[in-house]
Amino acid sequence: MKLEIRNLSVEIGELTLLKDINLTVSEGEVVGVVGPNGAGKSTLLKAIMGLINVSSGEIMYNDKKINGLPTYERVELGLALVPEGRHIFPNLTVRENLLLGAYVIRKDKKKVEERIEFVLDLFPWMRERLNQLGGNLSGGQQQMLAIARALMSNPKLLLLDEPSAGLAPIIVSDVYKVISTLKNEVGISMLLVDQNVKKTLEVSDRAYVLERGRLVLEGRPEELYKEDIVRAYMGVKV
Amino acid sequence: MVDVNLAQAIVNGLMLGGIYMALAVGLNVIFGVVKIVNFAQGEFLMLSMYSVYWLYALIYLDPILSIVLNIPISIFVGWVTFKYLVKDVVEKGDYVHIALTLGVSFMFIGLAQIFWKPIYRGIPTEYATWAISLGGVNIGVTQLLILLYGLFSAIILSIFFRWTDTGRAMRAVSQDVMASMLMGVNITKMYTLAWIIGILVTSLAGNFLATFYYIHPNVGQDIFLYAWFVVVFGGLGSHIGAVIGSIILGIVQSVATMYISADLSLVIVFLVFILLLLFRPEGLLGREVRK
Repeated sequence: MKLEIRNLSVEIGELTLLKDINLTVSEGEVVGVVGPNGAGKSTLLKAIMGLINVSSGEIMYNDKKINGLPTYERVELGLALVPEGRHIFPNLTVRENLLLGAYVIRKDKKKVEERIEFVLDLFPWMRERLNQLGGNLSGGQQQMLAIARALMSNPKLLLLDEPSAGLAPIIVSDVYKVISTLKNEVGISMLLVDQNVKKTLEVSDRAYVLERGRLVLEGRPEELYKEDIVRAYMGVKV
Repeated sequence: MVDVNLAQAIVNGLMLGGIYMALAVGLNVIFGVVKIVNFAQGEFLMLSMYSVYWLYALIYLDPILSIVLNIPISIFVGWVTFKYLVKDVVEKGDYVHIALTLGVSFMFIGLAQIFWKPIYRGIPTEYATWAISLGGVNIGVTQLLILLYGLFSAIILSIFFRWTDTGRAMRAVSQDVMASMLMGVNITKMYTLAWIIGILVTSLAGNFLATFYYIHPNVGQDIFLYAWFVVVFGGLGSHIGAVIGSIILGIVQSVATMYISADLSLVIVFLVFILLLLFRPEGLLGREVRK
C-alpha cells in the first residue's frame, strides 16, 4: 500500500480550500494531520475518497492515479474513510451497518462472517447489540461502530476524520486505544486527522501540520516543535 | 349475524384498496430511495394499461398473459425515463422534482390524448364477471387478483429490502447518501434500480386493472391522488403502512358510500386522513426521522 499526493489543490469558486499539498502514507504507517478548524483537514480526506473534486494535482494509490475514479471504485481498491460526525445508518441495526461496511466484499459470504468476527473481537460489547438500531447507540458507541464498519471491507488504508470530535474525554481515550491496537496488532496503514493534537501525535509515526489549506510542517511527532504547532493554530508567532 | 350489506361493503373496500395498494407500493419505493415524489406515477400505470390494451387489440393477447411482455417493456420504460429525465435532477431538490414529474405527467397525458383519443376503452375478458360467492357476499375474481398482486408486491419488496445486499444498500442510501458512497455503494445504480422497480410494480398493476377498469388518458391521475394519500397515511417509505393505508382507505370509502352517500364518502375519508395527521404527522407506521 502506498498513497502519494502530489501538488493537490482544491478550489471551490474563488475559495481555495487546499493548495499544493504533497503528502505520502507508506505501508503500515500511521500519518497524522493536525491543524485548526477550517484548515482543510476534512477536505483533504474527502478529496482522497472522491467525495469532492480536485482542481489540480494527483492522488496516486499504489502508483495508480485515482483522482477521477468514483468513490465506490476507490473503496473497492482498499480505501476506507470513517467520516466526521460518524454517519452511521441510524435506522439500520448494528449488524446491518456492519454488513453495509462489507458491501464491496458481499459476494464472499465466508469472508464477511470472518470480518464480523474480527470487528467483534475488537469491540466485544457490540456482540450484545447486533440487533439494536444504530441510532440507539451512545455517541461513543456510534464512533466505534463507524470504525468497525469501515474495517469490514478489510481496507488497506484507513482514513479517520476527527474520531474524537464531540466525545467525552474518557471515550476519546477508548477510541485512541482502538487506533493503537489497529496500529500495533493489525498493522493497518492510517491517515488520521484530528483537532486533538496530543492524541494524534502520540499515535502517529509521522505528522503534517495544515494551516489555511497549506501544509506548513512535516516530521516525526517528536521533531515537530510545539511552537510551530501553536503558531499554526493561533496564527501568531510565540 | 353479520349484515350481508356491510360485509359486501367491506369486501368491496378491500378490493378497492387493492388498486390503491398496487400504485402506492411503487410510489413508496421511489420516494423511499430516490426521495422523489413522482407525480407521473399514475401515468406510468396509464401507459402500461394502454400497452396491455394494444397487445389485446392487435394480437389478442390476454391482459394477464401479457404480463410476460409487460415486464421487459416496463423495465425499459423505467430505465429510459430515469436515464434521460430523472438522473440529472435527483440531487436538485423538491421543487425541481415536482416541476419535472408534473411536467412528465402532463406530457404523457397529452400524448395519450393525441394518439389514443380521450375515449373510454375496456378489455372484455371472459373472467371479468366471475365472482366467488361466500354466504351472499360476492368477490370479483379480477378485483381479488389485483388485491393479491398488491399484497404480493408489498411482501416481496419487504423481503427484498430486509434481506438482500442490494435492498439493504438501498435502505442505507435512503438514510445517508454520503455514508453509502463510503461503503462502496454505486449511488446512481441504486437510484436507477429503485426507479425501475417502482415503475415496474405500478405498471404490472395495469395488467390486472385493465381486466375490469376503464382505460383512458386520465385514469392514472384519478388513482394517483388516492395512492399518494395512502402512502402519506401509511407512513412514507413503509410498505406495510401502504398496505394497511390502502385497506383502510378502501373500506372507509366503500362503507361510507353504502351507508351515508357516495358524495360524502370522500369527505369522510379525508376527515380520517386529517385526524390521523393531526395526531401522527409521520403517518400510521412512519418512523420519526432520527438524525
